[in-house]
Amino acid sequence: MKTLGRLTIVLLILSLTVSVIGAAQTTLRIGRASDIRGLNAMKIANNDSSQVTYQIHEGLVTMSPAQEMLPVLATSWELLDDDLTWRIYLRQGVTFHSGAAFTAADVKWNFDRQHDADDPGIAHGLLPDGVATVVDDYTIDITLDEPNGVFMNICAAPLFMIVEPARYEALGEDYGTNPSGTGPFKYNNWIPGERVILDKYDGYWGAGAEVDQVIFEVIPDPNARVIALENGEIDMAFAVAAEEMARLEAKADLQVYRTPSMRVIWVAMNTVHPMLTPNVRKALGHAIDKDVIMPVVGGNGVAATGIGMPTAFGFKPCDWEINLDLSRALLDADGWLVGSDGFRYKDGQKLTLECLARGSYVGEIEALEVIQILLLDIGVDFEIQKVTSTAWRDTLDGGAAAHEEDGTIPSYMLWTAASGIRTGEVGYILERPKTDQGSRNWGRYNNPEYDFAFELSQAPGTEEERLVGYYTMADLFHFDVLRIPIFVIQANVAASANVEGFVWNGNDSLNLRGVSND
Amino acid sequence: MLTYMIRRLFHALPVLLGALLISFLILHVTPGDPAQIYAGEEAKPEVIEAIRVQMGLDKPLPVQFLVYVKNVLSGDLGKSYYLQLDVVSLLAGALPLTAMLATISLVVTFFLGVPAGIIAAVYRNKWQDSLTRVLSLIGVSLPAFFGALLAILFFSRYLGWFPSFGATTWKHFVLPGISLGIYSTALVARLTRSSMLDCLQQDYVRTARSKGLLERVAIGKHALRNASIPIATIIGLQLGHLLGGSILTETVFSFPGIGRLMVQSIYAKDFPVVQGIILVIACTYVAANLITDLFYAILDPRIEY
Repeated sequence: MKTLGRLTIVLLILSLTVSVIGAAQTTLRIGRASDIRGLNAMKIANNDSSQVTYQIHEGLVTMSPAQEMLPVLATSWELLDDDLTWRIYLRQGVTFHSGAAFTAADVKWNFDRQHDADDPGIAHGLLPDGVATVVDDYTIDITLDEPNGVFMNICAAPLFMIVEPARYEALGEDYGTNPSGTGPFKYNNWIPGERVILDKYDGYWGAGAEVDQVIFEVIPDPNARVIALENGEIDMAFAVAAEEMARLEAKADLQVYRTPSMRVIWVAMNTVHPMLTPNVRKALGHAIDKDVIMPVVGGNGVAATGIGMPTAFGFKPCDWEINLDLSRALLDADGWLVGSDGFRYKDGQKLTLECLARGSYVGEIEALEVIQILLLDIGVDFEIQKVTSTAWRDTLDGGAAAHEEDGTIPSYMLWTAASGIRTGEVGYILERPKTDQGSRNWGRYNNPEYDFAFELSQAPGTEEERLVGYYTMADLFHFDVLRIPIFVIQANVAASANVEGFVWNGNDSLNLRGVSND
Repeated sequence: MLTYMIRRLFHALPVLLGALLISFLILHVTPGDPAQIYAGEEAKPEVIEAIRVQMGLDKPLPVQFLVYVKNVLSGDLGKSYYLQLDVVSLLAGALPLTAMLATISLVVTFFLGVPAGIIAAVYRNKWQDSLTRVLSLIGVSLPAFFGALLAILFFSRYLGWFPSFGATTWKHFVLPGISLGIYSTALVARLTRSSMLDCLQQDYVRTARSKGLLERVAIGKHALRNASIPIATIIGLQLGHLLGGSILTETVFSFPGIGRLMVQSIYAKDFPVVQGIILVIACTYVAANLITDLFYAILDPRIEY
């Protein structure tokens, strides 16, 4: 009896131990600077929110880190002979987190909902207009109003993500409180300002989550974020300061990832401002030396040679040869002569170029300060005006709108901006200088050749044909100096050495499929 | 006393309304379009306009303000433009956390600052006084964010005693609470010293000592009581300051209180949340002032309401 009693106790302890071990779950804790704005993928797509909603929802296709298009909810697609209709074949056996099956009707609902006239979705500005028609449960035709050769690229941007129609119709604006997608993680909880918790979705159609839970922690201060990582309170830290990376890399229990993003910072020009004549703009291009700027930017970026990244389809360098003598000659030709103080004057007016800058990106202001010094060499007074995002936006929007309406020349001269590529092609960031962009065309560029080149780059056709359009735009960027690219922002991430399988995608679509933390 | 309280609360109404009006005007006059921020940089103008109508921003400013005040009076502080969550629920989540931080800071301030000031006054010009004055000078001079980072580095990173971010357990409140209280503690210590020095010179204290009372009775019962009115004033004012001054501390500690919520909302031009927080802070100041004034009557029997 005594032996039986002891055996029972041992067996009980063993079974408890096994159940505890079996119940132990793996968690990946990610520290980020900002919280999400919400989880309503139909209405919200800022980077911080997309990084989370992209774990819950999926699109038809996605871009790999090498910017190749990969099938996701769509397995294949073809452009029909009318050059307007994209026939998309959908993946079978996919379910939403509610258990409902994913079919072509869901894609149609999402496409139509994005284009709702009264309450358009977040992808409305990017997704071409058209009509979606269900062919069968796993085939859908999307007939566009105008030919568009990059429609599937647009679908790859983490903007057009498929939400479960029934859930969205039931919850409406509150969909974000209980989202349902087809992604490898499902929603658990969101404590605003603190964290978002996602659980592994066991019904995922593919090789999905390698961890049971992902927690996105909000840690605004970069130093605190690094300390939390070193303390073991989090497993990954995003947006690590560049100067910390070498120190963290040297630690045996940590690892770092340095990845150029798909986001370029540039100095853009108001091409109709009387002081920013073509000669002045070219003079700037030939004087802004990236080799001098980049040591100051440091590990926060890599020098940009064009509008976009070399890995993006359609990229062509549009940089200028550094030639200060040429810069000076161009300014002389325009009548800007050097005064006794070293600055250039014309008719008593000093050549002062004001640049609006938000300082939103690490290294941005530092780069501008170097540019300020570089331009002293050619007698240009480069003034940096640091403004809030809202003031920046208001000035540019207001000036462009006034010019659009009655031809009033906008008072702004230059500004810094950054844009990322989410479609794998540079077209995404080349659209603004088009004439039909109206008041969104802050540079006030008006060139039918550019407009035609853009349409050519987006039209259905061979890659060679579309590249003609892209390369023409790059040449015009170079010749007319619409923007001077400065640097590509580098994403600096640090993680515990236990984290495996993580690859940062330069287009900011965070993919945690296959990331483990043992 | 009750009549006095009611009268004071009645007088607070125009103060609160004024705070709301000023904050409303400032928010709407400063550059930035909440609809644009919400819609995102790539949104088309018609989408932004639709959002602007949804937010009620297309109405004239006086109408927007009157609608807002009417809703506030019925307990509805609106919906966050940025997060699309009820402002009341956002505040309900953030305010208790900041209130706890402020309470910890006040406790630290009272139990550290006041005794330090008393000791400095009693041991005037001795090492205790010098030490207190140096430490309080450091306390009022140390930038809040720097002190917070030092606290994280030392107590969290090197010693591992406390976590470095969040607000989940009691341990998460210790470092930010103490960091937030450093300035107040130093300020109260200096003021207490100054006030006590003044009282210790008075005839009644000399009389108390002459009567043979213990030194601690002469100081604690006679001098301190008379010195406490300005101390009570400063501590009362600190409550409002702690709520508003928690911004930097909460940011460094990633503490999800109203300070951090305020910063996020200002950047996002999230009017309803900013106005809601301003209303809360204004109410806190009003309440703190009222409580302080009532406390005077306890400290000084000559004061009656």
